[in-house]
Amino acid sequence: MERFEDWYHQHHPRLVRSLTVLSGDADAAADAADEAFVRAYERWKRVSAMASPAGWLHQVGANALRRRMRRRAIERRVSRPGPDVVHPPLPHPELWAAVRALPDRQRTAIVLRYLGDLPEADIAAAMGIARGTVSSTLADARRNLEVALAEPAADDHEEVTR
Amino acid sequence: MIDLDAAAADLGESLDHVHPDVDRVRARARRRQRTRRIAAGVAALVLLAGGAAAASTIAGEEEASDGVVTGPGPDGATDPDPEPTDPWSASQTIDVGDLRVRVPGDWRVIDAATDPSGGCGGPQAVVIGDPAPNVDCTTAPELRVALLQEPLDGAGEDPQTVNGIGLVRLAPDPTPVWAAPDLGVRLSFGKRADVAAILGTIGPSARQTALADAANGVAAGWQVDPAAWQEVTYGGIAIQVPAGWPVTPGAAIESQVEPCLGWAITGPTAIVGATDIPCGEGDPWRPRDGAWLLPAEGAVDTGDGSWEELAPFDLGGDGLAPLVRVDATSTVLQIVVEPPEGAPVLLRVGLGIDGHVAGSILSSIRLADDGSESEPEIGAPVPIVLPCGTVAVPDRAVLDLPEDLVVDPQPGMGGWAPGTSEGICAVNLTDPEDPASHVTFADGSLPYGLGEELSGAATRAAGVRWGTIEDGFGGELSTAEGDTVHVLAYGLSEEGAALLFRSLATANGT
Repeated sequence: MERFEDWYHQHHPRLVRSLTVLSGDADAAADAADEAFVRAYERWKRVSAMASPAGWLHQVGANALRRRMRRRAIERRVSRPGPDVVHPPLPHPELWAAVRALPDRQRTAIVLRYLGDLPEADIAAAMGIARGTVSSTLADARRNLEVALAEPAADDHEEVTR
Repeated sequence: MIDLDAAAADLGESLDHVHPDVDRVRARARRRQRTRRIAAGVAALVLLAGGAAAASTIAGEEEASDGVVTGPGPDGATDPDPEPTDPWSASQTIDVGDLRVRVPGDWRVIDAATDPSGGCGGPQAVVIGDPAPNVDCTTAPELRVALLQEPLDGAGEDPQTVNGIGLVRLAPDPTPVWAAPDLGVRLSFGKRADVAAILGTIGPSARQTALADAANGVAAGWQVDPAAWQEVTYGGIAIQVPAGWPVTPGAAIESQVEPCLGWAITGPTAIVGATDIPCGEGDPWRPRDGAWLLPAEGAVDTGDGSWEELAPFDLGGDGLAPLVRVDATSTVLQIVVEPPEGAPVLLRVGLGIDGHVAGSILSSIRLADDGSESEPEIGAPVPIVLPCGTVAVPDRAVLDLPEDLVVDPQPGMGGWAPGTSEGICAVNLTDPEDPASHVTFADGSLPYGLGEELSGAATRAAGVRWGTIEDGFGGELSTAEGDTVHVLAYGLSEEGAALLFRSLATANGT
């Protein structure tokens, strides 16, 4: 059984990256990532035996992120408005905004593949779909990203590769 | 040219300030364990002080919490897997057709008809319906519940009766398939499913309960309690609904959005007459009690084979022969009643959590004494409520607790006046370490005060407490994992809130 600590150090930056893209908020992403790793730590024997522990981790992280964002929405609703929190800009903001705008399945596939660094077999396991479907979903997503990024900046002739 | 790999690497560099720290994770896990110990201790104190009604439920939670707190973690010398040992401590209810079955609370519930992966499912998942015909599944769920496509005509082996429901086995281990021929439902199990435990939970669905209650009510004669029920009439037809329900003209239904994305029956309400707003009759994810009388003409085609007689209804000798729509998955029963004189009337009845209120309403259908119509309270519109964003409570009967609390508060949820609409708009799993996430109740001890029918022993036994918060209702309950769950509900009437929290009690296994 892989040591939790080794696995944690391997996947922490990837999960934070993924959740940052999903939320646009690095602080919320870091906190949700911690929550996901705590849950993995508590269940390590079971998690480490899964077909795709990293896929499970990303799912739990995304759930934790949703809860956190939901709570913030509630707090905003029931609390007095405080000063706006300004987040440092992320590199390639237009690209990540376009990723966030993808349909759920395509967004998940892109995040798991490029931010989570998961192989297609793990993505298939995490999403509960066939491996071939992962490939076609990624291809569709890249095509949609190309279109989305070309629209506001047609003169730049930007192209998404891979 | 943008390279996604390179962009991801750039993003990673910009996040260098987010340092991994495994000790932080371990410390947080230890705090969670301490919180659970405290929860278990509190439960034990409650056990000592509480009555017998609370004992069984809380004792179950305490056992589960004991399971949670054992083991120091993966780097320790003892069991590193402190997973709760009782997955049934917060089970979920699944209704398909006439069958109800319960599954562990941490399973995902997937509707094959809307699942983007085609309804394949996977470990710790229950799928409702068969996969799409063009989908080649590489994974299988723990349980698939689907309608039989055709009668079994005596097929199947090992016949037995569980909870009064006849079962036959259609396929052997290790992936057994069982069917309830009389109810027309098939249960297909995965290799690791606890088949006996799941089969032990089967029972009648809310639809089946409603129809059975209706038949019993007709047989016994409708006993009207003037204090608890009120008569509502439309088109020469009379029904009884709970006295607390507002009676509203259909024309007063307002939509908060265009086009209408909401549901007509959004809570305990009697609606009389048609509306111009094209809405679904009932939210498939949130069963509600409610009734709506409207013209049947143009709304239904009773000759299309999808309606059947509501036998053995006699309806008190009034000569009425209502037809009920054959619809296995709707949370609303649709009934057409044709009075001897006048146009057919369509009655839509929300099945609610358990079907009992709907059954009473069905058995009360009569000819109106003088053909008059109820005069609803003008000026009390029932807004059609926009579901709170992407509704992802995949369980048709109760909320899915606690891992995937997924009713999202979204833009558009604000501005509801209490008691004028119905909607669960926020479900929040609190962090015990984060006081900011806790709900402050406005009325202290949270009296139930709504009568045994709606907030009775089951709710109290589940340890659910609820009351008013600043602009709505808040409920709080402890899960088997020792987490505290807060549910915030905005725009609910008190009766609607009672129904909501009763459903939470159900979700927690009472």
